[in-house]
Amino acid sequence: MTSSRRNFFWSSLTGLGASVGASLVGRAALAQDPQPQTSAPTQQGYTPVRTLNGVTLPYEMKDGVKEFHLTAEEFEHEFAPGSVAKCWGYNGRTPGPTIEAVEGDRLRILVTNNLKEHTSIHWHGILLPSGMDGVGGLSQPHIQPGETFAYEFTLRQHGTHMYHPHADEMVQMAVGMMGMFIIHPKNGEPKSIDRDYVILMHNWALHPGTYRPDPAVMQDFDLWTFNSKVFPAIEHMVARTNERIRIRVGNLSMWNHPFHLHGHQFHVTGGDGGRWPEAQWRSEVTEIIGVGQTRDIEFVGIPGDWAVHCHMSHHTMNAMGHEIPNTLGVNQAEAMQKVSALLPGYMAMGENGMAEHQDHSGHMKGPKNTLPMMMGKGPFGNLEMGGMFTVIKIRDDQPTGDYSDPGWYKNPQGTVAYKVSGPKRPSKAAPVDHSKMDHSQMDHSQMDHSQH
Amino acid sequence: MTFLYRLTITSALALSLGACATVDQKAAFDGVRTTIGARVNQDLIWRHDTATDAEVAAKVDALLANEIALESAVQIALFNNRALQARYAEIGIANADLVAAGLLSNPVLDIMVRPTTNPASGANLEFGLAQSVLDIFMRPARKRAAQADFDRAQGEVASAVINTVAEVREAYVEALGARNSLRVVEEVYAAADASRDMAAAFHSAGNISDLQWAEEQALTEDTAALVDDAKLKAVETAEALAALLNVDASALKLPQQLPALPQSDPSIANAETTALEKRLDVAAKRKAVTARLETLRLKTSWRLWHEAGLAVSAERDGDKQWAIGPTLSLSLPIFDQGGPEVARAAAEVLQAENELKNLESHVRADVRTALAKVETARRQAERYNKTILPLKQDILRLKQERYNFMLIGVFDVLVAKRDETSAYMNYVNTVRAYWLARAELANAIGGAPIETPSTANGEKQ
Ligand SMILES: [Cu+2]
Repeated sequence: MTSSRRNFFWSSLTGLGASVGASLVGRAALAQDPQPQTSAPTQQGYTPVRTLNGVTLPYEMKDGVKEFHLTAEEFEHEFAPGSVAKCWGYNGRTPGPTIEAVEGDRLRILVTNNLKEHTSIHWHGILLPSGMDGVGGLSQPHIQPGETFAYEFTLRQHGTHMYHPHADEMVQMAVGMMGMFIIHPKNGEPKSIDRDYVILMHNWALHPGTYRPDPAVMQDFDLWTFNSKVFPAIEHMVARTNERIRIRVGNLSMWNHPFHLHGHQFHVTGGDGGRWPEAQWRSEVTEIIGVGQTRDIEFVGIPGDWAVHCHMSHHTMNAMGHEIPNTLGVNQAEAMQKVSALLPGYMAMGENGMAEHQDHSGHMKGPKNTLPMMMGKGPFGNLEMGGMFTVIKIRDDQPTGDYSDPGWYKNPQGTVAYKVSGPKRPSKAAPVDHSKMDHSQMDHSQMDHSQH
Repeated sequence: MTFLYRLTITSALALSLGACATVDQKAAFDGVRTTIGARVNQDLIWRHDTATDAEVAAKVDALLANEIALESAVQIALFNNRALQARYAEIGIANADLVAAGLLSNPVLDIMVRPTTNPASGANLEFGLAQSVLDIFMRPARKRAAQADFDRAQGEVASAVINTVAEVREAYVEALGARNSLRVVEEVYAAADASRDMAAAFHSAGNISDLQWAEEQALTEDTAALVDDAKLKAVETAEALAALLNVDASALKLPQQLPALPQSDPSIANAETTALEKRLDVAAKRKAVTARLETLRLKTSWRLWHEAGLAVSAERDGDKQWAIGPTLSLSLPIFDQGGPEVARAAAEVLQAENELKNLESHVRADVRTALAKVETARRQAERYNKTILPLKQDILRLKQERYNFMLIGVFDVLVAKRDETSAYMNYVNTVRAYWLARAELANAIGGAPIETPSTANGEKQ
């Protein structure tokens, strides 16, 4: 990955992305992302969900039946600029498009198999006839390559659900086959929802330097994703102050993830077992989303830029070695003389911590198709994050239904942590004043979008 | 008078038949050079007197002043190797034998004085001069046999020269290979040593355990032991070469590295036939067969006549009258008709013929084996040079990229460095094997001039 490309990430996070919407990867992602920058409640009266970095599956009404079409296939997926892989998914993306419908709807979901092995789709958590449950060999014959099957059922519930193959499930899920299935209540929400976000968590064994996720891995994953993207390629969420925000989080990875929201107490209002009665709502700031579970969290927006992330700190890193010798506190100065003679270009790292790595990875070459362990830049400096991390931007003046990026939060006077004492910093490392940012040094002409 | 006259005649006859007993050793030695021909390009000098000795010593010193290329190593050995000089003396011996074979056996003079009881008649005197007749007739055949012997000796000395060249070649390659290996082992050690320094830093920071620290130190010390082995090997091989060159090892300025492989191997048409034609040991064995056939012919022709003597005798009796007359003495083939000697000679012919066939069969096998070794060593050296080493370098580079992204630690990178260097060591071994195989091939086909490799074996990157 070139440094200009990495600058591009940083520039996205430093507010440049504002002109192209909430996407952190700018117009490249927009080309793939037909979600409008604004939206309003539908005819059926619900606020459509926004799947970060994703899309909602369109349907056709046929004789009162909502007909959807999913095609299982292989394609190249980008986790973030600089890391792509041959993945499997639906309609050219992972996660597949979010299916969104309303309690009481009759659905026909056509599933075409363009893979080279059979598949099936299981509708995770949805009440339906046994023969529509999608377990290959148990509920139905497998869908062979080239075949199209129809699943047809009436929705008798509402809530946050998922879909995924139930045929060679371990492999097919490991390489990206999954999606969210949202059912809105037919009588509307008890408390109306202004912003409804969808995140599906997953893990990937995309070993450094490789181009295809390794399905055999059970624990040592390299990438931890929200909607198959890693920070800083995961979109921001956006809301207006005091709006009611819901984040629906599903987990089809192989780890439980403590999903953590900064700056708010949220209520956990439901899961894949359905909407919980209000009396059962729990106030939390972190909710563990177990493997194969979904959780809905709801909260009222407080202005600011708030981190949203998995709290397993290794899950907010991109690929890194877990067997590396611990360099903390190790002064390599003496050994360097001999090592440098043998390994030109060797740089001693990590004596005082790993934060320096984010800057090093900008000029030191890493393996092909491999993202630096920590990335992203905010208004005050490096974020040193990767994986399952994004930001929700809540503003007093964000127009209703507008999802475009408002830029970095302008903290009111006296509300930013401030330095009391300590040595004078070199001017280079002085706090960045967002309003005076100089973007002229970023070379956009060299950005490579050819992979999109 | 008559007696004296006859005596003179006999002596003259004998002299004319080969009593010119001057032995020309220089011409005989030059014959060795001629026999060797283009098989060896270097000069041969027999240090047979003090003047020559001093002259050659100066030449050796001049060669020692510069870095020793293979050609100069061979030249020094040809000048200075004392085993070879001892073999040169064999030429002198065989040459003397050859001259001796051309001589007639000396005539035998008998004088008998028998005093009588009658003082008036004086002593009874008898003179006899006898010459072996058989000796005269067998002389040409005997000379032929001696010539064959001389040729064989010359061939053997020439073979010794070629063998010495081969030994020097081999010792030279071994010495350079050992020096080259030593340098590489030192690099392997450097990687281990750096790794130990690094481990020391990790250990003193409290980040690796005593166990890991001990393991790291042990590994470094193991590598240090390899360096010791390599140093000894370098000494041993340099000494072996120095001994062949009969110089002090410390006086040898050897290159640090083996030469790289030449672009192509020498193409030898009909290698096996060439070897049978060129190899001096084969030629010597052929001559041995010829010599034995000659002996058999001789024994067969003269089987009955073991001894035949022709003599003149003069006698003075009591009447003081001289009586002079010829005498013939002949061993009569009554009991020993020469059968055993002929049988022995015939068996010796058979023996020599079978030895020749055996040698030829081994020569063919040697040539085929040496060709296979050259081909294999080239393939292996090229595999290391063109494939394995670049791969090891790639691996090191890719490991470093992984280090940069905190995917692996410094120790893994140093292991990759050590692996890369070890692969280079294997490459050096294949280059060494190649040059040894070339030496073996040159020897198998009966000697070949030394090819001057143009490039040094490439510096390791
Ligand atoms: Cu996690």
